[in-house]
Amino acid sequence: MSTVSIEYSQKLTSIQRSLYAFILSLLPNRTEAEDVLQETNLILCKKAHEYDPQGHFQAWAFKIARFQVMKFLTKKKRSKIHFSTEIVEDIAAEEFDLKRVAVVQKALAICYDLLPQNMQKIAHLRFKDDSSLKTISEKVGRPMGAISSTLYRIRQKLNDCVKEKVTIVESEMDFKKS
Amino acid sequence: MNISNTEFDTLVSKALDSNLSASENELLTSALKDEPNLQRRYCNFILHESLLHWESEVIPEEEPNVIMFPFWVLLSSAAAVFVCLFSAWFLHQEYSLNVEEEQFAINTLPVQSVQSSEIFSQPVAAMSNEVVHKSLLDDSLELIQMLSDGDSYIDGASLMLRNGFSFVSRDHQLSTSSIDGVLPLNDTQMILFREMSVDTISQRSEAIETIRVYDLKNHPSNFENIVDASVCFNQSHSDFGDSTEFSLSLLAVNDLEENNFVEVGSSSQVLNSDNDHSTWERVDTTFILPEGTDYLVVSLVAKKSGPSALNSNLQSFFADELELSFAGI
Repeated sequence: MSTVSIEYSQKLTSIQRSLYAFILSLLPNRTEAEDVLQETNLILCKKAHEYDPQGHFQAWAFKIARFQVMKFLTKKKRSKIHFSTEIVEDIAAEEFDLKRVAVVQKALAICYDLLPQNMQKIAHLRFKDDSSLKTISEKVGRPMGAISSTLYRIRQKLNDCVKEKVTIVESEMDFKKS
Repeated sequence: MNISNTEFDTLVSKALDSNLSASENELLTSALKDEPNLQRRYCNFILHESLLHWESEVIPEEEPNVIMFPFWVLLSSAAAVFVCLFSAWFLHQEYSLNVEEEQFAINTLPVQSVQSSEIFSQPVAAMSNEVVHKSLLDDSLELIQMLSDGDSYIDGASLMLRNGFSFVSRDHQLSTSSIDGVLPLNDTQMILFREMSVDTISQRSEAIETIRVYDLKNHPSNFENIVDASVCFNQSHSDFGDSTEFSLSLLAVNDLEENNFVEVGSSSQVLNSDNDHSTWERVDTTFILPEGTDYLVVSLVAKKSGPSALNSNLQSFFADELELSFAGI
């Protein structure tokens, strides 16, 4: 395996959030996305010597991640529901740009606190603990269908709220910089 | 492609919960194709999802609630525990003395075991039927409410219109592709029952799925109040499993004033299936709707009894090709 410089490892570490989000957008299943993320990180380490330090690191890493997803999809084609390769090629990597991710992350933290307590509980179980709908249903004593529609409402609420807060967060971040 | 934001968001949410059927996956894929706005919307949802999952800054770790009780509370609790233990010991001593005195008399009564088994079994059977009966109506209340309110999405169910009848369907919500060695009968999807609830005392387990609710308040004028229904059942193979009792139930519900729903009639067709996962078994029923039927509830029930009921979680239960035809339509 090639030796990885400290600078390269720092770059790789800094894009992990965006890289995972990008892979998840192509492969909307957390376990599979995590597997592909691991595989992509391995390839990125192996190909460290091929990276041109003048180039855009994230774009290069995303290109490799997209290829890894394609490879994964070709292997798993017959067994599960997945997006077509056309869609995988279509999704824009720019949506997961590092700066944008940082702003959304701050806005999301504000919006999460604004969720009602019962929604926060379900959100914690699903997003943080990665519990299945069945497990959540058993833990909170509500039918699986109700959990599914609550999660749908949580996602909508967060989406609407983040849209609102993003501009405030951006101006705050710009103010701090200046 | 024309798709509303609500429909699109529902599909994305289902995809993120790995709950998307093959047809919904196709719908989402075609919605995303060449639609930069929807792709952006989709990427936003994904980004939130991954940040929520990845970052502890967004979702703080839940700290356990530790409550420090004052010393006197601890002391009085200890005293209460001591009193309880002493009382239990005292009662036990009393009871043991009485038992010893009556032991001979009890041993001479051979009828005793028969009496006890009757006492045990009869109420259990009655209670079980009552539970199933109540659940069919209870399960459907939310869907009936959805139908009367005209909600387009609740608990994963969909509002549909076919042959002039509007109805709420959970077919898509419960649909699955081939699993546990069971293949769908014709197409790529079939209905998967939820895990059975088990009563370990009576050794019974059951799963009830209210699959559809039809609005018959505004039915087409040529409808002759007769419904024919059919469905096929199957179960995955299990070394511990045996026959399963499946039933297709039709429940006629009347809407009294102010959302007070009452059952006015029902029809249930029972089938005992084999343990062979490669064969589907069909059940048919005809139901003449009683006067005053406002809603028709279609439910699927899977039940097991005896020791195999305790292992019902090792098996999966399926239904497919649910068909309803309305006489005159």
